Amino acid sequence: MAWRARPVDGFPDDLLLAGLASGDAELSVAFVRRFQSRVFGVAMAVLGDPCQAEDVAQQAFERAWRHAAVFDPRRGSVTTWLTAITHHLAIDAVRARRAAPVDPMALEEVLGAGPDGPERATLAAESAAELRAAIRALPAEQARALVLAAFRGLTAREVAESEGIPVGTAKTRIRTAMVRLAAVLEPKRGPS
Amino acid sequence: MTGADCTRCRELAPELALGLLGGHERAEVLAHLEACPPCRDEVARLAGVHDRLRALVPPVEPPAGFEERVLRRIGPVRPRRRLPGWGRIAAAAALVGAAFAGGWIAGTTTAPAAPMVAAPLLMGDRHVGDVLVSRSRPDFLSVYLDVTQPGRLTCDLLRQDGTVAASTVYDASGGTEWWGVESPADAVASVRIADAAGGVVASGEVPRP
Ligand SMILES: [Zn+2]
Repeated sequence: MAWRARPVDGFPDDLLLAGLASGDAELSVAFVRRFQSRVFGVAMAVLGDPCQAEDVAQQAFERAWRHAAVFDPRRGSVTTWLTAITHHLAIDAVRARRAAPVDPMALEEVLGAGPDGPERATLAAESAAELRAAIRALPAEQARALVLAAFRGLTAREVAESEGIPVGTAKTRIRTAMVRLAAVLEPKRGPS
Repeated sequence: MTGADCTRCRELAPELALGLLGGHERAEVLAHLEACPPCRDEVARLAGVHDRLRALVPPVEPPAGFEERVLRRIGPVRPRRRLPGWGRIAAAAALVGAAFAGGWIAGTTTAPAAPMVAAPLLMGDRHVGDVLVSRSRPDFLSVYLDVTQPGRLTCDLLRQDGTVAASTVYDASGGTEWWGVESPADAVASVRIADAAGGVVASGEVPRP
């Protein structure tokens, strides 16, 4: 235990979010800096286009600012909440524009290769590595269906069209993949 | 709820969890979830997978100027006041106050959903600072303190029975300062800060998330 001075960079995520909500300049800047690359990364994963991704990422921060009061830490971290907002907005945007066929993803491109950032240390990095390994261990067609649905925002019907398979098969692939990943993640859950 | 509803719900649960379901199907599933805890658990389980998948997405630096454009978009933000002493305490208090107003920080007896709890640091009956604890990091105390005299401060973290659980020193330069301190959350009931001469300059309870 140490009693030490820290810059704003050391503030907990939810204190920065409270600062954003209250209009505190220093905390707002720190909030945007801390989360912008993750927000933009999620928007890019769905949209693939920097201009649209920027628009969505900005909307996501605006929404976080407006709705900070409904953030509930018992339901997950600020990162989880903010990337969920971003993903939701990106899906809306992709729905609005979907015309071109979806690039059948490069798994590596979406998942990244190594540790994700300096703050994702220890346990989080370990379980992220495990999750990546679990995705790579899925049958290729399940991994494709999952990535198209989870990262590119395709519905089961759209996955079916993109892959040239029946809708029922697409649903089964997505579901089976998610259930397998859930099984991998579950032993990691602490008692709560 | 019928077996057929559950079958239908399980079929749509992955897309719901991935945020892909819209319109009628979404409404149908949500209505079923209201009445069916097992299906709710299933959706929560799959939504948990989606949360974890998003965390794998590699961060990408946005284009130059992104930060400024965001801050412009969310309206004028106030620079934090750099006044000595009470001015800065007021800034810290304003933050806490705004957070209270938004339902953000709970006094120890109010809204259980608030992510932070705050308790005042007092000297006599003067409010000289605040201790904030985030629910998501209960072992991390954020301390705002109005330091009237620069110098060495001793901070004791006290147990319920008044014995010292931990003690550390901090060289304060004066004005309102912010510190973060990691604490053994369960053991510590209160904070006491003393100056170099041993006089108590602030004390208060540690708020319980
Ligand atoms: Zn059911």
